[in-house]
Amino acid sequence: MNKKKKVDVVSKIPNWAWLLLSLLTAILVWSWLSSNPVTSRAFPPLTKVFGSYVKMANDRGVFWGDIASSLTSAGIGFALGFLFGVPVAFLMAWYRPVRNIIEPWIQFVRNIPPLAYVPLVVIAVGVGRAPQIIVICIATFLTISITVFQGVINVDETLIKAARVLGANDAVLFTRVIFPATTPFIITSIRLGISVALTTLIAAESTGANAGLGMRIRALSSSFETEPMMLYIIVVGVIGMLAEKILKFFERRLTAWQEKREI
Amino acid sequence: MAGETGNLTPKVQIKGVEKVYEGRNGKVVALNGINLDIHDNEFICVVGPSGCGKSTLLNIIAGLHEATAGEVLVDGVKVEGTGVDRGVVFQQYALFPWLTVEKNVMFGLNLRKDLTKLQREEIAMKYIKMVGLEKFVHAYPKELSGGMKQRVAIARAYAVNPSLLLMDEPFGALDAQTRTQLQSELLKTWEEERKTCFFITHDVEEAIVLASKVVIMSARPGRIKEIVDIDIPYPRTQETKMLPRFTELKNYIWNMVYREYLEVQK
Ligand SMILES: Nc1ncnc2c1ncn2[C@@H]1O[C@H](COP(=O)(O)OP(=O)(O)OP(=O)(O)O)[C@@H](O)[C@H]1O
Ligand SMILES: [Mg+2]
Repeated sequence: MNKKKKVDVVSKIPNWAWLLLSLLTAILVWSWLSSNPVTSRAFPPLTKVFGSYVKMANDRGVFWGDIASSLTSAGIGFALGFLFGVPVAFLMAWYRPVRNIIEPWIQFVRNIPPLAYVPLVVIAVGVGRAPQIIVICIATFLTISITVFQGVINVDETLIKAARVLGANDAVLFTRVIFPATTPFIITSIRLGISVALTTLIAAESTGANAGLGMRIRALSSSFETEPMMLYIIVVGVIGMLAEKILKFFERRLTAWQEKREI
Repeated sequence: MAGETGNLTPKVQIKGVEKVYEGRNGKVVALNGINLDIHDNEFICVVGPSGCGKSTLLNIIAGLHEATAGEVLVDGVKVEGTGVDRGVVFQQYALFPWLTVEKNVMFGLNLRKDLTKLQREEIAMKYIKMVGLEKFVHAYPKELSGGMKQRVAIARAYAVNPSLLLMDEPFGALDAQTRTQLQSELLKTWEEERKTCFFITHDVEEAIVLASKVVIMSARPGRIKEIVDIDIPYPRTQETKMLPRFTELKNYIWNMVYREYLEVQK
């Protein structure tokens, strides 16, 4: 009885209210951290953190340029990683030789931190926008190809059989069965890819970039400007959350057919 | 009684079919010298212990697997790969989860260039009505019960109008009540169209109530042990299961299958 009532209260609270509650809790925890002498140096008061926007946007005039620069690098890098990753995943699943040759490469590079191969990229293409895009492209490609590959090889064998006996040839099988069956995995790969693109920003922008969220976080950290640095970290987190929201929106439309574990 | 056809060439000729799987633990002889003729308008039910190669045989007729030796002819033509003249209903429904009921039923029709969109929709609707799902045309598979899913799969197989219907334990995953209901529906449809059927089941009663002939297979390596003519005239209903002749046949076939089952245990 008692337990049921509790569950009801929880499910009655709307999602936006939960989000608000989560935000308020975060602010509360932050305030406590910034008043606690042990942690107060790493967590300056939120008012000061957001106040540093004026310094970064108006006085130095770099705030929006940094965001634009990072979104450009991350966006193009991710798009390229996706564009290469998806076809490679399908090729690996379709042709065994391709898989046997490429999969070990992917597994090998995947565990190397991007920061380690940044110098190689710079030696190869010099400084500027190109190395940033390449580093993000590599990182997202690895994640996306592996995730989509798993999706393709997990397509239910009986669906393929069912399509075959209904008259599907290879092309039909690919476009009308394997591809739609893989969409949930493609969406998951986008989710992971976005997160990898953002977490790789610092490494990507350590290639002598002159703007960008990752480059600025490093710069502010070395000059011990904790307040604007925290602001930038929050910005990266917010960008990730917004991307996730947009993705959720499309996911709901594209995979409404899926058997969902309601969370 | 069963083979009341003027046409003497059998619909399906299975000639010396063998299947050997190369497993990790060596070779598995799944089928060993299968010979069987299936005539037009026959309803064949295949029974036999688990693992005796029933699905393997069905997959070979469907063209999904290749026989290691021997051949299958359908309408006198050797089977090489799948073909829309042979429809298949699987035990696991195999509906495309991203397509609605209507689109699932239309999957095969959409691959035909000789039909207009309207014609395709009409044909799909006809078979959706046949299985009584007109209220669910726009539902996704996840919104359907097991019985409803299998009805969609049957409609989908019928929609491309195959001349031979292959069913691999289509009602095996359903509860007893839904199962008898679908048996009755299938009987009714079959009695109207008399489409040649090759139907695998574990349920001896199901086999007898549906079949014009029951094929009993022996334990591995799979062979045909006996073919029993079911001399109970159609139309049949669930009441057919009350007839003394039904009980007689059931005891006979059940005993044969049970002996094969004991073979497996050894
Ligand atoms: N792909 C495969 N590789 C290796 N062995 C296989 C394969 N498919 C089936 N077999 C073996 O072949 C034999 C026949 O399998 P099959 O699925 O045809 O049996 P079945 O009569 O349909 O059984 P059930 O009644 O349990 O469905 C089994 O012993 C099985 O282990
Ligand atoms: Mg089977």
